[in-house]
Amino acid sequence: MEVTDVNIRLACDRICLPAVSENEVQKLFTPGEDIPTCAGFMRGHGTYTEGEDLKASVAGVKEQVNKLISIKPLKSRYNGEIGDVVVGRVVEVQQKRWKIDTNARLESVLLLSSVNLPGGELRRRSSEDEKMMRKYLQEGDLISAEVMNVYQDGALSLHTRSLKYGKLSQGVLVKVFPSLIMRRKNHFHSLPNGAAVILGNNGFVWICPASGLEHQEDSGSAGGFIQDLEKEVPKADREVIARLKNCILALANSKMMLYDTSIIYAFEESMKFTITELLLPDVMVDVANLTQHRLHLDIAD
Amino acid sequence: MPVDHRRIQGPECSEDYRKPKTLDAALLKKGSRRADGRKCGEQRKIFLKPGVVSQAKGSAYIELDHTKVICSVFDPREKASRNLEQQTVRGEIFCEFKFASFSGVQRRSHQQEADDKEYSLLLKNALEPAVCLHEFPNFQVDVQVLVLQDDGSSLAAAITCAGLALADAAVPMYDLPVGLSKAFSGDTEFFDPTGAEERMCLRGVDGESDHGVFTIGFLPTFNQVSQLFHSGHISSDRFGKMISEVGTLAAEVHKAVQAILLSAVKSSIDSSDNSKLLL
Amino acid sequence: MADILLSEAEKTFILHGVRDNVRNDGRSCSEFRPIELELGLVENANGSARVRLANTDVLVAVKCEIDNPPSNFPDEGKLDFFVDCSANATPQFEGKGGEQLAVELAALMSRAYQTRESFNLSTLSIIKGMKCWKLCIDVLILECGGSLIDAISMGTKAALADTKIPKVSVIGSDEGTLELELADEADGREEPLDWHHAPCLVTLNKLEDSLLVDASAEEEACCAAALIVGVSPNKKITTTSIPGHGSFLADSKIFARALNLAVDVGVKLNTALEAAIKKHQTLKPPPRGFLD
Repeated sequence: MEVTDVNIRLACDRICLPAVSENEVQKLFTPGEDIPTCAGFMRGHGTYTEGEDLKASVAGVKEQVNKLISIKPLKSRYNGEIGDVVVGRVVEVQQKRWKIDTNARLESVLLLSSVNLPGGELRRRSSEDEKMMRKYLQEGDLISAEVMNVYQDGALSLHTRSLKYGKLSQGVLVKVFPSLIMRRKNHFHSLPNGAAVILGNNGFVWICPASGLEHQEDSGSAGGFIQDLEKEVPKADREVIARLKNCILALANSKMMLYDTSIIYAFEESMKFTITELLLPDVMVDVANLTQHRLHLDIAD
Repeated sequence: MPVDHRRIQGPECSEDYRKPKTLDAALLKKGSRRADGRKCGEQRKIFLKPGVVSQAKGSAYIELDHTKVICSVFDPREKASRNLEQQTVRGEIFCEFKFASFSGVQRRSHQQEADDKEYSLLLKNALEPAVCLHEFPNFQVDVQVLVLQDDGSSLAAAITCAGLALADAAVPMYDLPVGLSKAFSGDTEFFDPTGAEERMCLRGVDGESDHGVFTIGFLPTFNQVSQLFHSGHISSDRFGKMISEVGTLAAEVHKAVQAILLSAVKSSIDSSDNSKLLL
Repeated sequence: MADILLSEAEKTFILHGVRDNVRNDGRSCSEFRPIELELGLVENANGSARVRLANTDVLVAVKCEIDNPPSNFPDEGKLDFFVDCSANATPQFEGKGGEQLAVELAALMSRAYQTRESFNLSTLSIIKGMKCWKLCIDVLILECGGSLIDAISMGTKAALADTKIPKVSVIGSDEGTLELELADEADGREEPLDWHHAPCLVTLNKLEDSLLVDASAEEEACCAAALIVGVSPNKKITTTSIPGHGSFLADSKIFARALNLAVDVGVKLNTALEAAIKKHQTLKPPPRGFLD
């Protein structure tokens, strides 16, 4: 087997370019800082009151919706909203429900009644179904789902009651900060280069070959899934997926927002480097800058 | 530092007056007999006896000439849970390896020293592939090994001894692990080295480039190497060859262990009533 | 070192990728992730180095002490390894959690440096039978992200390259007690060690028929067995170990392939490390440290 050369860099060669900034820097708040407000405000997440004043409790950007003031930190656990698309991993199989890890403060819940049964039947879940739960979803399986409900303690309740959600088959999972994922109408993207991407709102990004999303069936159907395991992903697709993964990590490293356009541009800009070069930090910053440039040109047009 | 008040502490920098035995370099000539009269590829006579410790579930005692090792295996007990979230599908083996204070020329501490801890881990890695860990999830089996006298190949002897002790304790296993060691210096290779041979090959004779000692944990039925512990200076090709050679020699030791185990089981069946066994 | 949960499909994807020699991040099976090296970070140590391999961060420092030589080898010095798994790395290392791992790593490193060919201890002798240098090599694991032993071995070699031992001379003996004196400024206070033959350890993870170098955490979760090989720059193997609960088929071909691959990778690693150290020593850049 051919052995590739090893390249060891020195710390003095570390390039530290300033962070890529999209807009003008807004006023940032640090914990304990006063937030100037007018009367009749409502306080949201990331704030606390001290007497009459409203102060920030986390470091972040101020968000104001009418009278609701909240501070959004850069790095936080995922706070779910109803209707969000998330990618999660099953960590536990309990009676009548699965516990899903979605990078939130509490584990999310997927009730047995919120999944589609194999064959698409519509019936009450029986005790037989409970015993067969492990056959549908096991510990370690990845699913794409939508947030149905948010419980009082903040835990999310998910559902996969649509053909586009369900168990995910072969592919790669990339974890980024939840705040980098832009909220869009569509989170399932089939990119022109042969790969498909699911941008979960919780920061879990799933990259798979384009054929994977086409055969997306409901989570219980065993037939389509077995086929996928035996099917080998062709080498060209695999390289595209690896390149996409590195591009997404490069964008996330420079704290750029992730959406289909930015990912496609980053992919195209990265073509002048080899896939393994994209692992180097200076190349990552380079790609992020080039993407930023192109996005600006787009807006200028 | 906690001081042990039960023992009288000798002065801190005291040493044994004797030096460990060294070997004559002339013995390295190929074809010549070793210090104890063996040929280079010959194993020392093994004496193995299971069931020597009455309080333990299973135990074994091995003697390789002057190397004497005793091993006890205790019933599965609940794992000292470090991480509650850890998957509890598999059980665990907890190995404790100890050289007795009087086992070598220099007196050793009564507490575990660095090489005792290292050997404990190596022994555990050697035994784990052989044991059916899924049979006792969330439990751990304790394996205590004590080297009474160390004259080379103590880890190899410990692996064989622990394998027999685990079998004596009726811990479900895939295979009987067997431990073997080999020392080499230049062109000469000693199978199952004594302490003096080990020390000489670790140091290396001046002018000889390749030297070292390695111990293998072997699963003969599956032809698998579960542990490969080596220290020395050798080229990769020669090393690969030596490993596969040792594999063939393991079969003999394996047969001996099997025979002893069978005779022990037979004698326990003969001595107890039939009805007691059928329960 | 926490167990990573992976779905069957993800494992299959990784496995097929390894067969095609295209891993999840585009690397080939024998490629390392980006490595960063820095020397001379710790002022109070005689030599130090920091190695960053993806998200594994290791700091190695060497301190010299004067000690009595071992009684059976009176013309040699001592080399002691100590590994500290800081609780910074993962929450599992809190308290005594990392102790077992620390013992394993320290033992592996001492074995790799045991022979004269890897490190000549007689260069550490001051007065035969009476005084010698004892090198205490302390390894601090700041962050744990896979390929720990590779990073530690690289850091150790670099720290030894950075180490300067003070020159001492004996000025008279007073009824059995010796007096040692540090050399003058003019003579050159310190001398470097002979570190060129020190080994680098390479971890090979076995996934079905393929062998992976520098496996990420997800790849490690799929691998059945691993083999750690210490390789010196002259293509010799100084130590081997099979960590964990895996085992290898005792087929000479498989072992030969694994050992040859390890030696090839090890030699390349040694060459790259030497080049980087040389570059650092010629450039003598100001310390960058932990500031970004």
